[in-house]
Amino acid sequence: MQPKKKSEFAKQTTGDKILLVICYCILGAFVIAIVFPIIYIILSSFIDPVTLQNKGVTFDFSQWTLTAYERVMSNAQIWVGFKNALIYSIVATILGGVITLLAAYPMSRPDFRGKGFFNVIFLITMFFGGGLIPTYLLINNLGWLDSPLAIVVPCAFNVWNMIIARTYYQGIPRDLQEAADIDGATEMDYFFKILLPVCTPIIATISMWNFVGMWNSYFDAMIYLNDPAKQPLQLVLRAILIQSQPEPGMVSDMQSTAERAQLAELLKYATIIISSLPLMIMYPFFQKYFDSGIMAGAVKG
Amino acid sequence: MSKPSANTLAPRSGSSKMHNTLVYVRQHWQLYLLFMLPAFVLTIVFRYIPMGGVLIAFENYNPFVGVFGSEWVGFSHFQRFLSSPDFLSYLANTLKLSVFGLLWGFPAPILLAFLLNRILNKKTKQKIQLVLYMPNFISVIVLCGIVRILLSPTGMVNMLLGTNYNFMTMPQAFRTIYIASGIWQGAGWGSIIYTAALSNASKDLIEAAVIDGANIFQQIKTVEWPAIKDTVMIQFIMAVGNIMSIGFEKAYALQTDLNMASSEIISTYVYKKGLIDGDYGFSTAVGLFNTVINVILLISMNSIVKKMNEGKGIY
Amino acid sequence: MNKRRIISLVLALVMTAALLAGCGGGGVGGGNSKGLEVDPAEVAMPLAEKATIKGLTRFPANTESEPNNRTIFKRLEEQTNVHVEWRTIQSDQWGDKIQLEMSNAKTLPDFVFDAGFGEADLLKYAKNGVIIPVEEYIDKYMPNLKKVFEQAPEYKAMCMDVDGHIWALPWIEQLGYQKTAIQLLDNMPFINTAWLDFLKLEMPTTVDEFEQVLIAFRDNAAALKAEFGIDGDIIPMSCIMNDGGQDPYILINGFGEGYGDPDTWKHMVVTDDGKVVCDATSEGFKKGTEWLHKLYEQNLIDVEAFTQDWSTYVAKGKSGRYGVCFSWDIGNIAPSLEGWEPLPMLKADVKTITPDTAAYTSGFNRGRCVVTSVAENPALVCSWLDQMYVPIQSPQNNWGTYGEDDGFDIFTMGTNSNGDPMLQHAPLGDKSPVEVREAESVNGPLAILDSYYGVYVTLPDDAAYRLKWIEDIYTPDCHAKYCLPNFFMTQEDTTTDSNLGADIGKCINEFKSRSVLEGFTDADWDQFQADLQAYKLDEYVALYQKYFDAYLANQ
Repeated sequence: MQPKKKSEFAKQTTGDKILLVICYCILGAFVIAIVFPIIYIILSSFIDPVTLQNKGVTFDFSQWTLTAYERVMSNAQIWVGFKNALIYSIVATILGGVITLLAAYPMSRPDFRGKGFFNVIFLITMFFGGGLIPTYLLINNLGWLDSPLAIVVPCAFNVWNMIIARTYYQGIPRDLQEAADIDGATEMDYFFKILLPVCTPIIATISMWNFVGMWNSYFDAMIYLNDPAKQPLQLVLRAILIQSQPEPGMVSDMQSTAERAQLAELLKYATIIISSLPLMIMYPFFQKYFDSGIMAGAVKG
Repeated sequence: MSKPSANTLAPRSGSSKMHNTLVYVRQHWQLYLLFMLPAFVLTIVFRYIPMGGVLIAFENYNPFVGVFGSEWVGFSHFQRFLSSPDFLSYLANTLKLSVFGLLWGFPAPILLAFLLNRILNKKTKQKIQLVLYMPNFISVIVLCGIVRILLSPTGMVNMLLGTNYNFMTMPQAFRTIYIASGIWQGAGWGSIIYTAALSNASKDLIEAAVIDGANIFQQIKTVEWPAIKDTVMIQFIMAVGNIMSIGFEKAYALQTDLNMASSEIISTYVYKKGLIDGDYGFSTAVGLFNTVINVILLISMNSIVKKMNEGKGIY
Repeated sequence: MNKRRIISLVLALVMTAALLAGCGGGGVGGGNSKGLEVDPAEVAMPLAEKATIKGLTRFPANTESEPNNRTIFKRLEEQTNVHVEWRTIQSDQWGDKIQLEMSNAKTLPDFVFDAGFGEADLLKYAKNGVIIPVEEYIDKYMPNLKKVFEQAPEYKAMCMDVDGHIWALPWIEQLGYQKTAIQLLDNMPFINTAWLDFLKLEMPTTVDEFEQVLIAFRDNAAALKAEFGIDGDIIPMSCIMNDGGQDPYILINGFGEGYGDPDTWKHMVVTDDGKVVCDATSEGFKKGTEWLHKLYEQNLIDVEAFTQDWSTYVAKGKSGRYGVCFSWDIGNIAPSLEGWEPLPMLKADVKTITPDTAAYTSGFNRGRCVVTSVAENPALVCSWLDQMYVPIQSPQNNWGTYGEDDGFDIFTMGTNSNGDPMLQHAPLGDKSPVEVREAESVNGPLAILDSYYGVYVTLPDDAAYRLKWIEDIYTPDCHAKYCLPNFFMTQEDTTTDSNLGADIGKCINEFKSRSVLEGFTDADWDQFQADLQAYKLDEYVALYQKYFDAYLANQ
């Protein structure tokens, strides 16, 4: 790779070279601006908050402690939370991805009858909504209270994602469609065998959004799930961090506020690491597809 | 069977249009049944059925008798909201935060996407992308905690500048802090969609352009920008349509007694009211108010963009 | 299809949908069918025949989620022959979920055990017919609670709304009484006596002496650091402005009229002739703020005092960097109780302490337990709930119990000086008291009166030393005749109170912070007063005056 890169760079005109250097500098600045605080967070998760506050991040390993991680990991709920989060996220990704990508296709075709109708129907929902209580009653009436269905199904179709996918489909040159027509392909054939394979970037993007969205979400799970065995990771972590809220006026809780607040402080950074680590690990899996080139040779001639 | 192109279906009269529609539907039934149906059903069930809740904004909602049994109060919630002494100030703060946030925050992911596209080594590019996406996973509360630590009079920023400013007490600084931390957190993640769209920019076309002697700017202008232009437009319209919807969490976490002049926005104000009142009708009314403004902005922006972008917009 | 048709179609859809949604509310059927006609003898505990009632309560995360598995409820079921079917919500999710529970007629239980509703919620649910008034049930079926009210009638008055209805059963935890009440002051000032001794200084008694002490701390910072081995810089005085127990305004109580600023929410005090006053309009407030700014200018106050959060404040304190700080209990902030003492009130123009709002009738939670309108036999429910007010039961519900087989208990069962059973706080080894309490206690409605200590239960340790501090150091300086009580306003007034209070509180807090940070001129002060007027301060004060006058009339 090295020789090719060098010559690529050398091939550029001087103006371009300068531009590239500036470009790398800006990017470098961004990266540094991000890396430092991230490192701070990672290191902080190993340091007791009192020390952190007074000495700052120190590399004196004697000050380092694994207490935070011990506390979090020894909590059996964490593992249950992990498992649940994984299941919900995978289901949400597949379900959401399929429904959204399917719906975006007809919407991207100029000849689709009823496009305006669907457009209005969908767009209205982006802004107007009934709010929490009517939705809660609906879920209740469906008998889905305390069921994971309540958190993966309602959000399976996301209008924003559909619009993005639709825009992407529209960016695919018409030649592909016409070539397929000439070959006598059906809708399904065209969609699954020809269009989707060149849409891997958007599939990967939407899948990742769905996965991360479900992984990070806690509100729906909190409202609809009661059984601790069904709670996803974020909810478990939130319980640990929020415990420091005292009851008003309860003397016996004054002491607990302080203790709890200290614990929350200690665990704060560790919980970030724990909840983002799986995502960081999964990310390369999605990333492969972001840059997959498009239609190399598909429509030549 | 060759499909007729769209133009030949131009209707001549009402009934023939209806007829043509039915013909189309029958021909392309898969589109409707397989592609659209799941999304349509989900939307109707989970978005439209609960929509009756919007009426709560006009009522003193009593959950025990439901939406139709509650006392109708018309616009009184709206009046109460609009007549609070500082209403204009909250509205102004909300708009300023949103608009400036848009101004600074919208180009950042696009810029990043273009920058990333210049990196030739794929592995390096992927590693950098990973780093750029990381801040997105930090929760807002923790982010604000870090911001406070960094900006305290004895914090890192002051140390680097050699000064002693108490940034969190300065109303002038609030917006910058809010927007800058937002960009820090979201620009990387936001660039994903543009990177994905950029991959649509055919490598062939780029090579062709390079062979023709185009420099980087020209490459961007002729190949890369057209590839993501539509995505940018759509994202922009959507962003405009969300101007009034700034959530309260981050502003609330960055508020201090002394920066309220710029940090008190509509959502923080309503949240604080709601804490004590528990007034469901009031908060729904405010949400509705925000929504109406959002929709107006969205429709306007969509029309403007359509004029500039060959009639392509959100709808 | 043209746009118009689309829109009308959609509108039709929305209408239909709204209709469907509206049907979700259902009605409240049956409910309270037996009401007040039930014979008290029928529901006296223990019941002749086992009965079942349904309740809703909360539990702290990571503790037992099924209340019937807790020792206290197991014993109660045996004692009363009443079985309770529980629904539970995890504590950290309570705030978000309780609204939904209360709006779901299908699953609403007979009573909500550990509700903790505020006044606005109580009135809202009362108006909507979700909960029932219980004053007559108390009279007829709740002898224990009645006894509590007889012993402490001020609580009964506080439970009643303006129409004389009691909408919820209270939680009462008296520690101290009136001028010795533990809630006399929230933001107790503490001074580092280890440093005082090292620098050979006397405990300051006036504001000037105090200023000198802080200056000495500042000037001898290097020596203090060396002597005590402190990481980080010395901070003569730290606080968190406007944050309840961490607010420093307790120091200015001696200025001017002597009102101070005891209540960082309402900023209101009552003069000895029964007049309600907003202390932010007083001369003392103005002079005190000037003095605090003077301290700040001399670098005697933590620069982070206006923006830091609790954890930063504690972290700095735990490494021994403070000379003076404020909190409910120094144990939360300093590395240990050793070398710290509460700072007595400082004399400026006078030497006095104004009690915090509602301090005299403190440890009171009005909306702790409600009975709903779906309860078929409220008399039975109330009779069961009355068991919580039995003097030997309340401390257990509140703190924990005795005689569990596994692990530590909060109490052991001993005897008092009369030979009657008394709960004694037990040593917990190195177990965190919070964890043991949360594992065993059930909270809910209960009453622990000051007179119970030494008779039914011993004083908790952490309360004991704070009560002593108050009694020894602060009560002697408390000359206030009145203390603004905890009012139960009408719904309209509650709304006005919260609307005006939010804006006024914000205005005052901003003035406090800005003035101590930057100083202020007379013109600024006048502007501040004008702003308060613009936020309708007069109306706000008049509201409280109205209720206070009524309260006095009822004495």
